[in-house]
Amino acid sequence: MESHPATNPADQVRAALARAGITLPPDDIAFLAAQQEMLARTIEAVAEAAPK
Amino acid sequence: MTLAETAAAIAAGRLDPVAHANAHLARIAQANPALHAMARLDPTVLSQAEAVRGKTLPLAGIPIAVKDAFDAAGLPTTANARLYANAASATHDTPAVARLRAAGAIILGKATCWEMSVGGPSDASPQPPAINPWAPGADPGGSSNGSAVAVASGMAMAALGGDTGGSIRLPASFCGLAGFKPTHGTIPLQGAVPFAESLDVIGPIARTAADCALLHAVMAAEPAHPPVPLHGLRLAIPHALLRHSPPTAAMAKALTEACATLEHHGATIAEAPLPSAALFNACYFLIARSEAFALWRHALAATPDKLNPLTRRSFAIGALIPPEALANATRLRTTLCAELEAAFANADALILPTTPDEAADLDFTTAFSRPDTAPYTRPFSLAGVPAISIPCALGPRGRPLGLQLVGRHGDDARLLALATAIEQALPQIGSPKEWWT
Repeated sequence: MESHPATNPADQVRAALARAGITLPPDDIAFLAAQQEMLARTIEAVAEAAPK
Repeated sequence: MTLAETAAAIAAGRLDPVAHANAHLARIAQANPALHAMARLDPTVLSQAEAVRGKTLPLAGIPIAVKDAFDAAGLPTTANARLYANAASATHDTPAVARLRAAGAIILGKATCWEMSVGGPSDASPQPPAINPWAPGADPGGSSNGSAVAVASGMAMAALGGDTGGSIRLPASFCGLAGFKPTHGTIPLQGAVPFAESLDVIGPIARTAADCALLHAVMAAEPAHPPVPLHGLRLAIPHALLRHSPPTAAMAKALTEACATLEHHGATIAEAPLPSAALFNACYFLIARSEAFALWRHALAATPDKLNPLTRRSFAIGALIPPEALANATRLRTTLCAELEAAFANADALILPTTPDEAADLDFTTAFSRPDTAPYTRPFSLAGVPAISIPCALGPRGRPLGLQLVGRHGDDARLLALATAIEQALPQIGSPKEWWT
């Protein structure tokens, strides 16, 4: 089954980099896509603890 | 000899500064082919040495290596990156180098480092990775590894390093040296290749905390603190930080034994409350990667092929951090700094390991998949407070273990005096066997 583009981590990475005019090799995209889950957890932990 | 003793001997005419510099050049010629610490030598070393003959200066004739991320006039700054492979020679010194020169130091040349101070060990960088003199193939840590290896192997008496999340303290710990990260903002950063500007600092690596104190007094242009007695010294361990990223049994034992020795000398050891310990590294990550991406996004866009994959990925991950996440991290940082400041209410300094373990073997896999060596150093970078690593024991593989001491914001000179007293009470670990000769 093919992933929906909006939820595909590699596509999300490509899109974020493209907004900055950056194109990276496929290995870099795969690596960064694999970090997405860790990054999301980090962002969430900081958001919960940050003073409002 | 200490740095102060060496400078005094040169001032008194008991030590010839040119012969002293020549001895270090000979040492570089002997050891550098195996250890890869020095990337480039300054061709004016001997004339610099001649110029300090008979002069009474605090660092007269002290041979110093400069991390290749900082400008030293007459030499290119490459940050061990293909991006700067054709860099012209710097026309000015970064202020720290200028102050060292004015105090009589001899600039030996540039010490290698991780690419852009972030990439991790790589065999694709212009300079081969530095090797820890304590064991063939051992990781000297990073990013200021050439600086630490040069000092640990006797190529230089001291070195300049840069520290964003541990890059002075980690190689100092892995190479059995003292490495000092000053309070953020103490030493100007003009002429330095940046990584994350709200975290970057320049500081010394040397054999002892006492030597670091002298170097810091020169670079920060502030007087050294008078000696601090161990009796009555109040130290505190941030156990919450250690529970979150436990040290190895050997490192835990080294900390326990060091604390017992210090208690025997009249110091008290308590627990430092740090309830949000688990959040320091998360907050650091978002801020460091966002700042690095902001600095280097144009290089990523224009010449990505001139950066190694580890560096590209370390910079590019900042593109995935939304502005609101950085804003949250920035607000949380203020809270965490206040929490850390409160931990000093009943303590003169915090005491903890510098790293969870002794040096591993060099590993060329991706930076994010290697064991985390910096969970105890990044929190104090985030807070911008002074911290020093000093050697305290050898691990099971015969490689050094480091103890970190952390002071209040701006309390640099006192922390260095306190570290000097502590290192004199702890057992000496000696020097590495010279397997490279």
